[in-house]
Amino acid sequence: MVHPLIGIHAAIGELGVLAFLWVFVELLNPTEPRIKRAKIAAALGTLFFLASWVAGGYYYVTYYGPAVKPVIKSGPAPWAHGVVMEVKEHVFLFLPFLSALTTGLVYRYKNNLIKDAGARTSVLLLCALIVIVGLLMAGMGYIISTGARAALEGKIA
Amino acid sequence: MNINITALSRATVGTLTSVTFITIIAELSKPFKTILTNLSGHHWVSKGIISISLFVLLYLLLSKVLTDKADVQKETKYVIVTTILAGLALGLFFVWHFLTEA
Repeated sequence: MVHPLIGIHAAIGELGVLAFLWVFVELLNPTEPRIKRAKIAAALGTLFFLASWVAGGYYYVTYYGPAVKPVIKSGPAPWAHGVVMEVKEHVFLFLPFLSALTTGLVYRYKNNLIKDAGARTSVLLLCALIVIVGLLMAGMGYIISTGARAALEGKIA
Repeated sequence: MNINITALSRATVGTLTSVTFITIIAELSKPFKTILTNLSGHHWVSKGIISISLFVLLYLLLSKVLTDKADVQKETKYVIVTTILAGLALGLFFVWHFLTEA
């Protein structure tokens, strides 16, 4: 049976990605109300990534390591763990810190983001980076699940 | 309290770089990986604890040392370049590690 925590980890992570996409959209053409919403979205996004870290970490340590990893390694796509999962579990660690920095910039510059094009461009670039890395995490999660499914199908056949 | 952007971006760069180095060194050195495992019970959990501690510590220290007259675009460039290079380094390392381990 699929562990519910993996779904929770993925869903919260995607909410984090959507939150920073929201910040990006609000700051494309910022006004005071948009900046107010961007501050809320950035703070929420950081909290979502922290929650996703806890949920994913608990799943990884208590369930994935003992039960899923050996299955993938014995299947037809051992690289799904050996490369993809190894990269994912470590690159994921970048997201909470990138989120904290972006949130820090939004709270620091506040309404100055309307006039300060440099600060606004910086926040937009960081949001784009967070969205891209977050979507990469989702794609890697799909590849890892496929590796596990392929291994289980091999055992049934 | 004002957020020191220079300190925050440098703390981010320092943390991302450290996580990358710690990860690669731990894969190459079994004794180092054992130390990480013994720290919390799992090497990945230890990396998380170290990264949070380092981020907070670096920010607190750097905000005392660095003045906050940041060129925010330059600081952002450092962070983005570090993220891309660290991600590539981890990707290439684990491909190499997988191929040579098999």
